Amino acid sequence: MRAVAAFAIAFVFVFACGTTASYAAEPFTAKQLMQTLAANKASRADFVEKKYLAALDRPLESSGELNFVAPSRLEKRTIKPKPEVLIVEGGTLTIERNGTRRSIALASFPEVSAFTESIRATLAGDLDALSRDYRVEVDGSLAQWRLTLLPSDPKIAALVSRVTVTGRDRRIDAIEVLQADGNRSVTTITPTITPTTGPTTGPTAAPTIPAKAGAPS
Amino acid sequence: MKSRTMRRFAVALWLAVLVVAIIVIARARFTADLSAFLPSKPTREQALLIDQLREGPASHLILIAIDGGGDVNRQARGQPISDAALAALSRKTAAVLRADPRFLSINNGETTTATRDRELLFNHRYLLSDRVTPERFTVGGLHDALNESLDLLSSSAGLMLQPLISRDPTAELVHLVDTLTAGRDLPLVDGVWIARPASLDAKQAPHALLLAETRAAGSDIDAQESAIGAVRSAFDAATREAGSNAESKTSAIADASTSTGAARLILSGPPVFAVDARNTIEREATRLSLIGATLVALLLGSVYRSARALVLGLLPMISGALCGLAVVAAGFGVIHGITLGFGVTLIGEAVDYAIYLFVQRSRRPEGENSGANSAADSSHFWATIALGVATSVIGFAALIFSGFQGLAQIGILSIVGLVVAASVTRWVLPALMPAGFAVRSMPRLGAALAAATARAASLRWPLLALAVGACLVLFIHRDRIWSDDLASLSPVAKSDQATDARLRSELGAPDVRDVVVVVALDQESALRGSERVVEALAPLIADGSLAGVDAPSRYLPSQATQRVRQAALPDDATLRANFAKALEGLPFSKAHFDTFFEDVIREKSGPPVTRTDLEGSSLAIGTRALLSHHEADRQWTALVALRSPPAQTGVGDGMPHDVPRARIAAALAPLHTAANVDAAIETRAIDIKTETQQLYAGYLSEAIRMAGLGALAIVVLLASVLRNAMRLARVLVPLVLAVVLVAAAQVALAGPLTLFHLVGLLLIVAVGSNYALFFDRRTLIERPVETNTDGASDDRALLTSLVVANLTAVIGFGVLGWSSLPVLHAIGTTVAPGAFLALLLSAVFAAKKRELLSLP
Repeated sequence: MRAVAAFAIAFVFVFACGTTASYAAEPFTAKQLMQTLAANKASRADFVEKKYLAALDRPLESSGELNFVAPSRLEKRTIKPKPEVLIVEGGTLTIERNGTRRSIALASFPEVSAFTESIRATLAGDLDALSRDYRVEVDGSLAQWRLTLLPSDPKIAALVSRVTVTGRDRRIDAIEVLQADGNRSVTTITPTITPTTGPTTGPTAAPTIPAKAGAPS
Repeated sequence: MKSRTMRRFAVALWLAVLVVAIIVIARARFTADLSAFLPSKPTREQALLIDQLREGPASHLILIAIDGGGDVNRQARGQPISDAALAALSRKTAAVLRADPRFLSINNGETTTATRDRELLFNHRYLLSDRVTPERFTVGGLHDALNESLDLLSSSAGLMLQPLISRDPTAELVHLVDTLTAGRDLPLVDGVWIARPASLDAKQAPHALLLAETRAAGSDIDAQESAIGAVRSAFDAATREAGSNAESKTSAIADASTSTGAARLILSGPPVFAVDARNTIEREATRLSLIGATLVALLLGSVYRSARALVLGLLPMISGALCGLAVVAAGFGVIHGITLGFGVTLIGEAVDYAIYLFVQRSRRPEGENSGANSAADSSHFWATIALGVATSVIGFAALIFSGFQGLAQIGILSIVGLVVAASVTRWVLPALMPAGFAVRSMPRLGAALAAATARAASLRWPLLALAVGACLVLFIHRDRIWSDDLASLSPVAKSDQATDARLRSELGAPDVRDVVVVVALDQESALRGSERVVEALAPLIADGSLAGVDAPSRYLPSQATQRVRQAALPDDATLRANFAKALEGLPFSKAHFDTFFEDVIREKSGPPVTRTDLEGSSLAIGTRALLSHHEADRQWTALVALRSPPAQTGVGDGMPHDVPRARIAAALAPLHTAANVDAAIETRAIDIKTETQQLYAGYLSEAIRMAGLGALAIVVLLASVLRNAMRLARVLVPLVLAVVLVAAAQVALAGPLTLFHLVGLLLIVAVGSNYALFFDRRTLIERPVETNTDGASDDRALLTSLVVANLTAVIGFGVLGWSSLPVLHAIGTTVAPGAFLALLLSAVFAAKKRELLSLP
C-alpha cells in the first residue's frame, strides 16, 4: 500500500554571519580564519540574494533573514518575492513553500551535502569538514579576508565550480557561488544582532537573542 | 464360518482404507493461511476485501523497526543508542537485503532509485504530468507557466529547475516530483526514516523504520519465513559489524554514538503474522496432541492395566483421525494447521466407543456369550452408539455450513472421524480382540459410582437453582453475549496488533481503512478506472475533505490518457510561435529553448510509457503496490487508497479524521450511471474496518442460526428414535443445562463469546448426548433385571466406562484450553467443563427407580 519516492528537491544557499571583532593578525591562514569563525555560536542577519542565470536577461532578486546555531543548524527565511523557509539541521534539509513541507536527507545526495557543507562548515569554522570536499584557499587579512573553496570531488565540481566567501573579522559580508553551468549567485549579508559567542555556549543551545543590536561598527 | 469371513473382510477393508488415507495425507499440503478462518461467500465488497487480505500487495510487505532502546527497560538494556548509529544500522541492513533476490524492494528512506526516477520522470514528463492540457500550451497558458517558473527560480527550491529551465521551462519535472512525493514525509535522520516518540511519556524509543517487499506472494508462507529469516540475519550482521567498529575506535565518543548493543529488531506485517501463526499452530498442534494423547494413554493404562487394551482402545481414534484428515485433504486440497490440531479432540470422543465396547464385552463371562438375551443387549448397545454418533454428526454438520473454510474442515474431520471410529469399533475391534479378552473390572469404583448415582438426584434442585442463576447472568449480559470484534478471532496477539498499528501509522500508511477498489478485465481498464476515481474525488481533495489519494494511475497513466496528452501537445510550428509570444515581458533570453521544442515533439510522436518502462524505479514499486493481477479469475485490481485529513493541531491526540464516506459515495455515483458505465470496469468504495466488522457480525448470526438448526435437528432425531416425551426431556435437559451453565460462566468470567465458543457449545451437545443416551439406555436395561445381581454389575461397569470416557473427553478438550490460539482455546475451555457437566447432569436428571415404575 505504499509507494515511496523521495527526490532531490533543492540545493542550499545558506550562511550566517559574525560580528566585527578587532583582531589584527598577520600572517593569515585558513586555520586562523576558521578558529575565529568557530567562535560564532549563534547569529542572525538579513540577506539579499541575486541570481544571474544564463537563461535570463536580468538577475532574480530575493531577500529575507538568516539564522545560524552552531554547529549544524541553518535557517534561511525568504520573505520576498515569495515566502519560503529552508532549514538544514543535522543530516536533513527541509523546505517549506506554498504551504507544503518537504524534507530530504543530505546523505542521499552527496552533491547537495557538499554544497551545504561549504556554507555550514564555514560558519562553524570546521576546517576538517571543508577540507573533505574542497581545496581551501584564504587571502587577505583577518580585517578583510576572502575564502575560496574549490571542489576536489569531480561529482561536486560538475555542479559547483567555486564558492567565494568574503568577510571582515568574524563577520561574513558576501557569498558568491559560481556554478559549473555558468549560473552564478551573489548573496550579501547584513548582521542584525550581536551573535552569542564564547566557549561556554553549548553546541545545541538555542540562540539567546537580545533585542536588535545596533549596526556593527 | 460366515462371520469369520466377514470379520476378515472388515479387517482387510480397514487396513486398505488406512493405507489409502496415509498416502493421501502424506501427499497433502498443509497451510496455516488465517484467512481460512475469515468467512467466505460474502458480499462483493467483502470478497474484494478478503482477496486483498489474502493476495493483495500489502500481504507481502514486512514492516521492520530497529529500536534503539531508551525508556523501555532502560536499566536492563543499557544506554539508548544514538540516532546516527540507528541510521547506520538501517542502511547496512537495507544494503544486505537489497542484494537479496527474495526481496523486490527495500525502503528505509534512502533514495536509491533517485537517478532512475529522475531520468524516467524527465524523459516522459509530458506524458506523465497531469498538467499537460491543450490550454497549457496556448500563449496565455505558457506565459502563466513561465511566470511560475520564475518564482521558483528565485527560490532555494529552484536550484533543481535552474539547469533544466531551457529544456523544461514549464517546470513539469518539479510538478511531477511534487505530486509524487506529496504526503510522503517521514522524519529523516542521516538519510533514513527515524521515528521518535510523539510525547515524552510514550513508552517507545526512537527507531529506524524499513519496509521490505518480498518477491513471493503473501500466501507462500515458506517463502515468507525464509524472507523473515533473511531480515533477521541481515540485522544481526549489521549489528555485529557496528559492534566491531565501535570496539576498534578508541575515542570516548565512539562508545556513545556507535554502540548498538541495545538495538532490537521488531518485525510486523501480514507475512510475519502468517509465519508466527503457522509456527504457533504447528507447535501447539504437536504439543497439545502429544500431551492429550499421553494423558489419555496414562488414564486408560492405569484403568485397564493392559497394553493390549490400551492399543486396541486407541485404534478407532487413530483410524478416525487418519480417515478424517484424508477426506479433508482430498476435499479441500489443503489441510489447515488448526484442523490438524483439532484432530486431538477426537481423542475425547472416539476413545469412548472402544471403552464402551470393552466394558460391554468384559461383563459377559466365558461361555455365556451366545444367549439370546446377550444378542439383544448387544444390538441395543450398538443402537445407542449409533444414535450418539448420529447426534454428534448433526452437531458437527452445522460447522460445514458455517461459511468458514477452516471450520468446515473441522466439521468434516469430526464427522468422518467419528463415523470411522465407530465403524472400526463395531466391525474391526471385535475381530482383533482375542477370545476371552476382558478388561479389568473395577468393582469398588463401580459400586461407589452406583451409590453416587443413586444419590445424584438430590442435586436436582441445587443444579436447577444454579441454572436459573446462569440464565440470570446471561440475561444481565444479554447485549454483550456475543463479541462483535473480529480481532478476537485473530491468532495474532493483541500486543502484536498494537505494534503493527503503531508502525503503520509511523510509516505514514495508517489510512488503509478506506480504499476504492477498481476491478477490471485488463490493466488498461483498471488504470482508466483508477483515473476516473481520482478525477471524481478531486473536489473532495480540493476542499480538504480528503488529504489526498494514492492511485496506480499517478505512477502509470493509462495509455488512453497518455494519448490524450500527446494530442494536447501542439505541433512544432505552433509551439514555437506560442512560446515566442508567451515570452514577451519576461526576462528569459529567447535563444535558449530549442531542446524544449525537441523534447515536446519527441514525446508527442513517441510511444506511450508502459509498465516495463518503469522497471527499476520507485514508480514501479508504487504501481505494484496498487495494481495487481489475479491469475485465478484473470482480473486486474487497482486500489485507490484514500488519505483522511489530519486532525486540527492541538486537538485530540493527532488521530486523523474519518473520511466523509457519504460524499465519497456521492462522488463515485456518476461512475455507475448508465452514461458512464463501462462493462469492463467495476468500482467499489470500501471502508475496511466497518466492512470487516459487518462481515464478522453477518457470519456470527449465520452461525448462530446454523447452530440453532443443528440443535433442532438433534431434537427431531432423538424424538423420532426415543418416541417418548419424558425420555426425550431426560436426554435434553442435561444438555441444555450444560450449555447454559458453560455459556454463563464464559460470559461472566471471560467476556463475550466468539464464533469459536459457539462451536464449543455445539460440541458439548454432540459429546454430551452420548452420556445422556447411555443413562437413558441404563434405565431401559435396568427395568427388566431389577433384582438380578448380574444386572447390577452390568450397571456398574457401564457407569465406570462412562466416567472413564468422560475423563478422556475432559482431558482431550481440556488440553486445548491451554492453547494460545483463540480457536483452540475457546473450544477447549468450553467443551471440557461442558462435557463434565453433561455427564453429571445426565446422572442427576436420570430417572430414579421409583419414577421408572410409573413409566408407561
